[in-house]
Amino acid sequence: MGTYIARRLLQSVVILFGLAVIFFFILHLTPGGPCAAEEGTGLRGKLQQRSCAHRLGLNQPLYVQFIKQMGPYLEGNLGTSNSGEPVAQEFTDALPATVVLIGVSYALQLLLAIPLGIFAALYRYSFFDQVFTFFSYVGFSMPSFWLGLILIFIVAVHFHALPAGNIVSTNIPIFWTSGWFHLLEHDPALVLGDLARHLVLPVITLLIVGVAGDSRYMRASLLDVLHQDYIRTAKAKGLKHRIVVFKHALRNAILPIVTNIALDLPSLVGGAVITETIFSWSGLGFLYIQELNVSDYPTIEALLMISAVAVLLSNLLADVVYAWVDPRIRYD
Amino acid sequence: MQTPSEEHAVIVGPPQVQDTTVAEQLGQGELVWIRFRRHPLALIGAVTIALLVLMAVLAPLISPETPDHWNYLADNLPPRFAWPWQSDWRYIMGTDSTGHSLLMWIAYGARVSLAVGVFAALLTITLGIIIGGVAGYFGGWIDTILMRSADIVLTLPFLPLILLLSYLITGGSWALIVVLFSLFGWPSDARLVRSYYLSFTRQEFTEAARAVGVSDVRIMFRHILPNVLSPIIVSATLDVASYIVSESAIDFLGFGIKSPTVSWGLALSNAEDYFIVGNWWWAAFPGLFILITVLAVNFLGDGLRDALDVRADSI
Repeated sequence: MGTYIARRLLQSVVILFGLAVIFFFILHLTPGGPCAAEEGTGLRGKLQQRSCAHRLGLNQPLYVQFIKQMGPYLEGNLGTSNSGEPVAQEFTDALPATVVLIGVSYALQLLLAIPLGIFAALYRYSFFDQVFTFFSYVGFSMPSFWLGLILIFIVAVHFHALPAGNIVSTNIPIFWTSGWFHLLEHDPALVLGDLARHLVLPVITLLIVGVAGDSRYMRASLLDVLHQDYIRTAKAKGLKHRIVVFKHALRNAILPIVTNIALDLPSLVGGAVITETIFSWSGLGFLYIQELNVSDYPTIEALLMISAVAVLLSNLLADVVYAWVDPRIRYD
Repeated sequence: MQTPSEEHAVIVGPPQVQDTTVAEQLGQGELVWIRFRRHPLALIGAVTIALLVLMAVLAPLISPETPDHWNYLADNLPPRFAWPWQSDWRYIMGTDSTGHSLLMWIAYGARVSLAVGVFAALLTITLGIIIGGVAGYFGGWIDTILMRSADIVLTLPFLPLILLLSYLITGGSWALIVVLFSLFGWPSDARLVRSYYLSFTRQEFTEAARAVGVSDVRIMFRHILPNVLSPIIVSATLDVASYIVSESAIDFLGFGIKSPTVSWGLALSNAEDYFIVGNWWWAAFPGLFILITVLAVNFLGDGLRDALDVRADSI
């Protein structure tokens, strides 16, 4: 197992280098760029563009730019963005918001999807299962950006019940960027309650699409297991239905879901781009869209690299977890 | 479509025995149709898709307005009911802030959504068949190289990269969005096709064809491909659904189709700013049509999955 993990990690380093080159050339060989937005016509515009390119180092040969971009990565930081702020700072400012949003919605998603899937599988073809199947289709086909807009319109604009966007109200500081002492300075219950109120709509948006997919997966997985021979044997021995389902079947049926959790981890980094944008939730996805709009190459490259690292690590994690929970699987 | 023998088989006799014999007597097409008919939702999906395609093709007949010919004084009208032959018909879904009717957005926008979904799925599956077929048929180092590249493409963050490339390169052309989608989408289809080619390459009919001197290309596409068609069709159908959502998403975020062209995602994107003043219809209808389209395609795909399952030998 140790050598397997080591070999996979080594492969990942090679793949990451390849991806870094690909991302870099996609960014630098296409027209436009951060200086294209510089206003001005004629000579004045040309001079402005030239000074912009000089300031950002875009007039140097590509290989020099590439080395300058990659150098900081080897030292363990992420370089400096075009706005002059360290990319690592921008990243750590945005990360907690995304972790909170994705963490809460993912936990709820599993809490809802697994029981729903089990219930639908146990009472297959019942009225509940038919309704469940129909709504899971609808949820699965739902464009999340439209769902978000409709929720904002009904709940926030029409009924003024919940805030339409942002992480916290304007009079309350975001405690993870402005210092944790703010949590104590204001009433913690007030600060966390405000955060919770802002969380409701984006979490529901993510939940409806996520629960539909995961619960169908759970249902299919449990049905698959329930038709296997060892379940028939367990029933034939005269075990109680409840024990057969929850002790014998469920343990195997839940395996694919466990791997799925690991495979979904990258959404922590690149994930909720659409939902964060609709709700102005200033996490990593929101940051990415903003930097894309100003063509901030160093930040875009760094965010893409981080999400590639996340994908590679979570794939590895999924394989390792799978081998750990299922002893039949062995990697040589 | 129902022949007397089928009726008979359904009504009398021990079902398993009778079903198998009937299934043997029927042609492949009839068998698929009988199985497909049993899924009412799949039928509804197919009919809905046909209607949507009709709406896209006949957009000039359905909408009295065109994207560049409209009444700019009729802005921000709420939906009002009318029959198709009445002149008020164009305001059945209301208008946006520039006076364009939502009916026009829906009818003309369907063209982009459906075209991107269908063509991107076709191009993806074509790439998938060629790459997966070559990898599975020839094996060896070709297989290793192709499947490793598939693994690498699968590690790319799809939405962020699509947004970036669409922003940098396409400049609002739907054809280039189609190409981008298929460049990122082929690996899963290629893996599927490869797994079938791996098993069929070792079977007798392939070896027999090779023995009489049939060329590799002909074996791949004339002998093996027809056997792999069912899973390919199902996979391509479900691809259509996900591409339609992705295309509207990048339009919605402002990185896709640009303004003179109309699309459902773009309508939603424009609607976002006018939400606060209460113009719900501007966002409601385009999103509803995206949902209906994707739902219909998913129903159809799942119905086809059951109907085309050639391994099942009962009806």
